[in-house]
Amino acid sequence: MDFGHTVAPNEGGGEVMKALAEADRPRHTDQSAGQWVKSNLFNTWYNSIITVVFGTLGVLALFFLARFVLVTAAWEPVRVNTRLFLTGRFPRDETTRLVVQAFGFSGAIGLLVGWRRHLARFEADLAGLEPPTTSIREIGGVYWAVSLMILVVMGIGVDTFRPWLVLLGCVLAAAAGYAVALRPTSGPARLVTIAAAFVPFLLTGAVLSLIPDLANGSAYLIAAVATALLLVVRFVDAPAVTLSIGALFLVGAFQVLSGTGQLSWFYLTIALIPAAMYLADASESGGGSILDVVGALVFAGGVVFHVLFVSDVPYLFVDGELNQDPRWLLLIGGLGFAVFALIGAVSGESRLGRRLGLLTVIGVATWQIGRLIDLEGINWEEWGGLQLNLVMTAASITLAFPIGLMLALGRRSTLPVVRLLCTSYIELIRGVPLISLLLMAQLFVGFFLSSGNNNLSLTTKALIVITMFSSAYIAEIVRGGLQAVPKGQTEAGQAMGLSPTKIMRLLVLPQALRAVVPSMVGQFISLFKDTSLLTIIGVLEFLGVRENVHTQDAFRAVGRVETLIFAAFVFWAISFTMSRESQRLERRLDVGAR
Amino acid sequence: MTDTLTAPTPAPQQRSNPARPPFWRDVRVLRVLGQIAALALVVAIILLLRRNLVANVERVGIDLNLDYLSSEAQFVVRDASLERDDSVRRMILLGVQNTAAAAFVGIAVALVLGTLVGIGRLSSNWVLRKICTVYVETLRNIPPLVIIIFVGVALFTAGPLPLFTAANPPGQIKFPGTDSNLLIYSNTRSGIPSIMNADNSSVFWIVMAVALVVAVFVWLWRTKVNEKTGASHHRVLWSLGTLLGIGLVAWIALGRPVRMSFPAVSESGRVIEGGLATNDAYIALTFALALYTASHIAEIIRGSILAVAKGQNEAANALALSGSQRYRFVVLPQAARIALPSIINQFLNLTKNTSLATAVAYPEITALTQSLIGNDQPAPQSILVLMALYLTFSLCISLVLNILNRRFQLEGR
Repeated sequence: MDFGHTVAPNEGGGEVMKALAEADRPRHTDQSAGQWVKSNLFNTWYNSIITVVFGTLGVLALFFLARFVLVTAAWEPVRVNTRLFLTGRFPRDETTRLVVQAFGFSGAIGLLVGWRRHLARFEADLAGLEPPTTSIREIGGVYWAVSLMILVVMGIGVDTFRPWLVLLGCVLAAAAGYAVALRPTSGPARLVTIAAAFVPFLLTGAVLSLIPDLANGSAYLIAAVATALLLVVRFVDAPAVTLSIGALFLVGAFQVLSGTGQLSWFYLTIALIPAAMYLADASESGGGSILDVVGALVFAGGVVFHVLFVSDVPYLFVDGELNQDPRWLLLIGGLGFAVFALIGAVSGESRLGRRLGLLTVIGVATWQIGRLIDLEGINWEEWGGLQLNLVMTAASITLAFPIGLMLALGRRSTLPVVRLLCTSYIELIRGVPLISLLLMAQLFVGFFLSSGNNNLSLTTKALIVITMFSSAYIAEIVRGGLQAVPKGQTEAGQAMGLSPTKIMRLLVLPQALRAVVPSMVGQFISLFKDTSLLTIIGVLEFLGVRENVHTQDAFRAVGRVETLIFAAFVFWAISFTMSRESQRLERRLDVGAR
Repeated sequence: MTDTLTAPTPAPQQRSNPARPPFWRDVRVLRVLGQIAALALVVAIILLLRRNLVANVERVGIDLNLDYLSSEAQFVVRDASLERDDSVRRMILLGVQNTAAAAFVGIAVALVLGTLVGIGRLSSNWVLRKICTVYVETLRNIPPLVIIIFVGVALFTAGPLPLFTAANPPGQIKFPGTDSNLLIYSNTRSGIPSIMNADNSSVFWIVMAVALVVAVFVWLWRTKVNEKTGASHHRVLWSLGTLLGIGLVAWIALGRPVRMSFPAVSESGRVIEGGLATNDAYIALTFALALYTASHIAEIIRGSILAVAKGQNEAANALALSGSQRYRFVVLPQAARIALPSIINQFLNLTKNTSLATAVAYPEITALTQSLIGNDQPAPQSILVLMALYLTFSLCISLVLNILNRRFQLEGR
């Protein structure tokens, strides 16, 4: 449910939202048509008047709207510039990347939806309950995803592909991901899902046959990797692995555009965290074995190596000509962690060491692989249009979530200093409009960075600021969720002798985060709408493209209203779809809750 | 029982030397250390940023002080009485005024419209329900910036409204049978009637203020009478009667100190004289923000009415209250209580959203700050002043409305 920016449930929004969700539940009645008309349109004399007056007005409005859209409107500026609207100044020769990215995202969405099902079944198994069944209503929401994809694909496909072919590929990729993640255990469905793992080859073949001059071996290499990953999902019965591989597809789709340089190893490692945790924990029960010691040592080695040979991230914030090399800070922090893990391992309590070690190995491996492949990316500045709005929203929500979580925990902390710091940050950010922060990004953020690194692009600066902004709002949402968890849960944890950290991690947070999913979607929608403000500081996002279109000679005075209606429609379609989906999600979460 | 009795008493050496954990596991010590660490981290980050800031500012060569507030603004604002050589401070004050003007009117319109639509969505009439649903679902899923631009373009730039030039007089609607304008409308300037002060007006306003105080006392008195004797209070009638009665007597006695002022097209045919005149940017901004916020307020109102416990409705039914009585005395007061915090939030949002006025070039505080920076005023201070002003707005609104809220909420909630 979306209430503008946010209403934290503790501020009275909770009651309201619950009542709305209850009222919006679909209901069925068995009335005849005559009864319905009488009770809904003409039950009293004033209702009859209202029906006639507003009915007439409504019909007239519909008529004029239809006449405008179908007859009088000049859609030429939109039709000619569809591609510009959707992807901005993205280079034309690189369209293939967009198609591959669309396939990758679709596959990832399929995998992640399938992962939810897989997880539900897994948990039901653990608890000894009946596994949930898949109903067709469950995937009804895909309709909206598809209608969105139509829009995107129309833009991509204008002069390269037939749009419906790309769309078909997207649907196929999503279906393949979903089927593989679902892992049916019997019947012909088993064979179908194994076959589904080879869909990437099919898609690659299709892409290559449509763009002949692209034919090369690396395309098939990518397809082979994708297939191998899908087969892993199919044959390893662990939701964590499915999650990781879904995330890998997402990161991969992203990398197709942004290239494999710089921080890609970092994203890949993050995506692999669930699988690494699963592997580390599955290797032996209990902590404190030699594995943990080795893991901690590997991590320490990795930190030293990274600091000595790789890292240049700290230079973003500190000048190189400082007396102290900023990398040493990183070194000290990392080695501190390693010592911590070692102590845990030696005292026989913690598995932190082996997890850190495994992640180090994965990080180094992905880094090396990234260096080997070295696919060049398309620069941030060349992205634009609707694509940029979506990417900005997704990226800033993803980055802001951990920060918001920490802020929310800090605001509820019993340590007064921490609480004060977090509260002032949150209230400060929530008290000013986003546009003032964006102006800060445009004119001012550069002043806070070290003079040697003052070449951040405007888009990156805007991303930093939007992340700061949304983390404050997410913190309030999470705080509402934390407050909604009954106190008895914490007390039960204390009675069982769990440490405060464990109570938070195992009892309170899962329940709190589950409760805030709908508000998070609301925040996503709100943020998506807010990305339109980027146009004010001169980033070429969707609304900015519109202004650009009207600087073209042909459209200087033509179709100003029409392009605006198009922009409004696209924003509306995406926001409305998401809010509907979140309502559905809310209902579903409620059904089996507590 | 025996277990308790024979339970071993603590060893004497333990009692003399209470089992305090070592300091690195002592919660009290750890709490202090944790806070010091957090503070140190924040201070370190701030120092780092400050260091960079100072270095960069030196490199670029601007002063980080507020002296620029007294310098000349070097630009003029449409429809404002300021000159090119007026100070930056006066520009900022103008911006604050304009922000407040847009926010107040926007909030009022949004509240009325939102309440109507919210109740409309609960109507038993299908047509009304659907129209209100379409309104809400459309407006709240479109970015406010798009709505502002849309109103600006569709109503004024490319819209049906007449031009306002010497050759082409604007549209005028007159009071029937007179020559006074009820409304002047065009695609740039518009005007409505307002009141105008004449001789003795200050005396009149003082009398009115006194009358207001008297009216409040009358209100309290009637409430007390009602509570003591049970007689109907008719508070509204009594206090309004007092206020208007005193006002009328004073108005006649002072020789009509306040009069209506009607808008009229000036002799040059370019501007509006008299009345309350405004321009397209203001109308577009206020109207668009009101439309957008109303869609959110409608949902809040609907949800709050639905959130009133069902038993309340049934109890009212059992007491044989009529439909409208049920709403007036049972449902709406409770719904208002539930809705208030969320509506406060919407007021705050609307005020912050006035910052989108750059899209229609309405000179509120953000747009003016942008102009100032564009005219070579230093960016860091200008933006910090801007943020401080918005923080002040937010704090003021939430302070006033939180006090209201505290009065409104039930005890123990």
